[in-house]
Amino acid sequence: MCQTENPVGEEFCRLCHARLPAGPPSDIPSDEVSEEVEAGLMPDWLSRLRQEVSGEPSSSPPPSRPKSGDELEWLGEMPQVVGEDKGPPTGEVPEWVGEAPSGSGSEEPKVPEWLARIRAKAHDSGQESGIFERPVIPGEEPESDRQGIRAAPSAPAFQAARPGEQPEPSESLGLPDWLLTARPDEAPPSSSTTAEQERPAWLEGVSDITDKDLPHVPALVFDMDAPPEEPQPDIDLALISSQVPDWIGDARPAEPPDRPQLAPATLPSWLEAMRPVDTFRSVIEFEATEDQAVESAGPLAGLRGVLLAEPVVAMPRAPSGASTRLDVNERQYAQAELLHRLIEEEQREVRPRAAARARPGLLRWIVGGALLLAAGMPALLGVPSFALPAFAPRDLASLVALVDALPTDTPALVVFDYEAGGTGEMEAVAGPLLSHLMERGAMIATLSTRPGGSVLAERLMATVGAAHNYVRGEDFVHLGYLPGGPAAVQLFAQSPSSAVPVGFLEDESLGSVWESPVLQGVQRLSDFSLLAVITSGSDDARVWIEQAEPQLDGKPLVAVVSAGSEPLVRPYYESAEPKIEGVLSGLTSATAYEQRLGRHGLAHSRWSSYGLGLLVVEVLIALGAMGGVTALALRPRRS
Amino acid sequence: MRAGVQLVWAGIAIAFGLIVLQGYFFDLTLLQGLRTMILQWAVVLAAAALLLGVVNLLAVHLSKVAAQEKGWAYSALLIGALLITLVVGLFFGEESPLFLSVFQYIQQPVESSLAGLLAISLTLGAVRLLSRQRNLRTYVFLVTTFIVLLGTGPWLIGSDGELHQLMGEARAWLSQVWAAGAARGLLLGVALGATATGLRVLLGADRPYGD
Amino acid sequence: MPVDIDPVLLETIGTLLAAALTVMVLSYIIGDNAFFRVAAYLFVGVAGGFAATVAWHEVLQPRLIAPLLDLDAAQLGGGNLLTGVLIPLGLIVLLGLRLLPGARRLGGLPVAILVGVGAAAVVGGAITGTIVPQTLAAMESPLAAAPLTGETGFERLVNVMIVLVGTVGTLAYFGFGVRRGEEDKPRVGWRPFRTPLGIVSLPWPLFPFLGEIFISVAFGVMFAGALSASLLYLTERLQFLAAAIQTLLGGLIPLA
Repeated sequence: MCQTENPVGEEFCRLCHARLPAGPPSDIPSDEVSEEVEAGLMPDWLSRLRQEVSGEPSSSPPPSRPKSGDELEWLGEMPQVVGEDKGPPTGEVPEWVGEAPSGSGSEEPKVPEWLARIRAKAHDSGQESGIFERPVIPGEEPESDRQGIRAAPSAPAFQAARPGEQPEPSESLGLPDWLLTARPDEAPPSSSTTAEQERPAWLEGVSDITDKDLPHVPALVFDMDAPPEEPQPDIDLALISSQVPDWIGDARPAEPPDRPQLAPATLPSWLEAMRPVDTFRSVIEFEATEDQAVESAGPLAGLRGVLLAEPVVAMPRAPSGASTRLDVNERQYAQAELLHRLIEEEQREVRPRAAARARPGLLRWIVGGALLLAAGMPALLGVPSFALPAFAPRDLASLVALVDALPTDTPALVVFDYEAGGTGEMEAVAGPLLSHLMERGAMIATLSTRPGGSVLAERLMATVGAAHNYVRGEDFVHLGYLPGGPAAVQLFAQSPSSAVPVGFLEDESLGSVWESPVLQGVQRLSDFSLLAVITSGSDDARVWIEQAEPQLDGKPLVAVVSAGSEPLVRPYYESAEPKIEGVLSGLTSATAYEQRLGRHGLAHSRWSSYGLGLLVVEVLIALGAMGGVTALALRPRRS
Repeated sequence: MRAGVQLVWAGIAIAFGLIVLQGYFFDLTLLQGLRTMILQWAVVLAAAALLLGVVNLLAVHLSKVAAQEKGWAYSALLIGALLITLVVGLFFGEESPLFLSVFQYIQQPVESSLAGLLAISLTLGAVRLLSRQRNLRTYVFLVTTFIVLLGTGPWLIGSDGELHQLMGEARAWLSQVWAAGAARGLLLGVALGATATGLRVLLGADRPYGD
Repeated sequence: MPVDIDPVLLETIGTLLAAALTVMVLSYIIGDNAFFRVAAYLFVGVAGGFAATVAWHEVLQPRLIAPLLDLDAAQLGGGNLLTGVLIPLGLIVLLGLRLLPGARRLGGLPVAILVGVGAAAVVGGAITGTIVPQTLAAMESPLAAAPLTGETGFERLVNVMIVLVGTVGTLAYFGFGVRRGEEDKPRVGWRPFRTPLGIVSLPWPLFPFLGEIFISVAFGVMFAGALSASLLYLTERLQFLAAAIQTLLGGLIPLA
């Protein structure tokens, strides 16, 4: 079936044309049902069933019902819902449904007046007045059947509206008082089931569903043709439970005597074949529209078949016993604190940690102290004294010969390209060369590509020249500072006078340093007898070799370099066409040079300190190497 | 506009560079004077660039003092020393004894002392070398250093002996043959790299003079 | 401006100051401290001021300012006023605009001149002074005697071959390219080779390995040279301190 809602009384579905299941008796005129619904009457069957609230549940099959109540067997077979108040045994038809109640010891239930009117009307018309009509029980008073019905606790009062009466307040929802106050244990005593029960008119047409065992719920049947129904405030919805209580027996409405018997339609075979097959039959059977309660409150007021909110949803319930407080144990609390702290730290700007001040280790103390002692002891105490070098380097001889062969009528150009920090070595190494030049009487012109070079030149020339009585301006001049790196050296090589127009500590009486007698006749670089570059780094030597050597026109270029730069200068020396004619490097060469000259200069003065310092360094390096190798040997081998 | 200016500067750099470069290979009298003039401009600009560098140094430390950054007192000392030296040099002259004394008694001692500290650092590095890294290169490096040191300085005893002379010869052989071979390769590599870099500038591929 | 200062007083005060600064710098041996920092910052300031003064007095003032003040005494270096003074002065002004954010672009001209001229000087010098001569030197005949050292014979042959192998090996080690896909691989590895003696592990490629050895030797020599030079620097400072103490104490401590 397509589950489409269809008007009450329809036999076939209007959408899929399937045969609609037989519901509650459809012979009840809808107008009568509407009237009764509008009047807010309690369903008759419900009112009867309420009387049977009291009673013990029984698992025994429902007893055989009197004939009049056979149609009501389905009511007794309804499954018992959990939590429901115990009512009459399953299958047992309340006596007020099927037979007249026994009057022994039991108080006759009092039938309300409105119910009596309905019954009377129905009796007169020969039909059941509606779903709210209670089967007529001989001797039963209209208002005497409500005592056994107990209303749900805390259910709002639901008073059935009496004809002509104003609707009950909303809180009562229009349900009759008996429905609200009825208790299951007050249900009237069960009567004999053998009494004949008159089948109510509203149960006519209800098929025997003993074997079906299907629960029924009110269906929401929306009558499209009928006007929207007004809410019925006098209907006590609190008593209309979504759970069918047990005391609903198997009362069955009586067959409407005048129900027109419709001949079943005969469908052609081909049409029958086209009939949708009920592959799925809803477990839930939809009740007839007239059997359905009408909602009287809320936004769904006036609609039939509304799922009852009470007492499951709408009725306030006491809070469950479970506590709403979050139980946190110590570990969880600690983890939550940790997470909170992590998030706080992320948001907080972290200051860069200040670099820890490096503290010198013991090894540094030992090395520093040993070197200070080694370098200072000979200078302060004069001991120990190291022997002067007995063997001169192979290159010294060629250098000495070169200087010996220099012409003295032209000045030698000496470039002081070392920093003030290199004076300790360079003054000691370059001193013998300058001394040799002075000894030969060669005039000297100094130049520097560093700002402090001129001052250093003056310092060394004054120191060495004092022994040779060299006078500035007469024997040597300072050409000053030449900025610009390789381009400046190229300019000087190309045109010396345009590169350095003024000198340093020049004679003010002269217009220009180039007018000095020292530089007499010097126009080009090749006019100098010698170009000696004194530098602590190899780069300066390379620059002068690359830029100036081609302009020397065969004049010698001598490199006086630090011991560490000698390897990088050596390739220019060791070639078939050497760029450098002489190399002087290291204190050993300088000391040997001084020995050759027979003069004791700065090299000699630093020889012992130099020797002791080197000895200490060699011992320390040897110890360090042995320690490293020992550590390697003692390291546990990895498996 | 910006690209146009860049192209103009690139054109000038290339033109001036080519004029200077041709002087290494050709001897053109016509360009000789122009080449000398360009080189003179370069010398003057180099001196001006040095001045600008000092001005920049002053500005950096002035900002540190103004912002009261950490160590601003040292920056203030630097600024004071620089300005005093400038004043002394500009007013008394670079050849005045006072100005030369500034170099003699402040710059030279401090710079030499800083260089002297290098002896401790280098020795410390050599002592710890094998403890930190042990491979063929390290062993070769350390053995070479030891032999050169032994052959460089005097011995406490036996300085005039044959062993000392042998060590001297070994040191010379290592320094003047083995190291020279590697140094030649290094020099060639450096020269090739410098040539490639310079040619990139002369061809306009590199423009380090942009904004 | 000539100023008469007692040279003895100047030398005494200067020696005291130099000795104090030497001790302050050498105190770095015990760790970084305020004395060391004071000496270092003082040195930087003095060096900057000294360099600026020398550049002004020896280059800018005589070339640019003096000619404008006294044309007769101008040292123009063979040029004229326009090319020797005005244009360089203009270029310097443009160079100074580099310090101003708004006019920085105008300073591109003098920088372009400096860069172009410097590049040309480097290229020309490298080609004519190093690449060609050193390449030719590496191809020298081992049989010819060394012109300066006088080596001949077997010694010369061995030395030339060693230098040649060192040169080629070093250039091979500093390869001017990285094989694609092998950036993470070490340059030199050990590979097994079948020899008459059996399978022997040899370094491969060979020349980069040899270059590595030669470079290690060269660095060892340079390290030893730098270490001995630094010893001399330290020696000079200690000798100065001794001399200063002697001067101040009036010759109580004899010097070697």
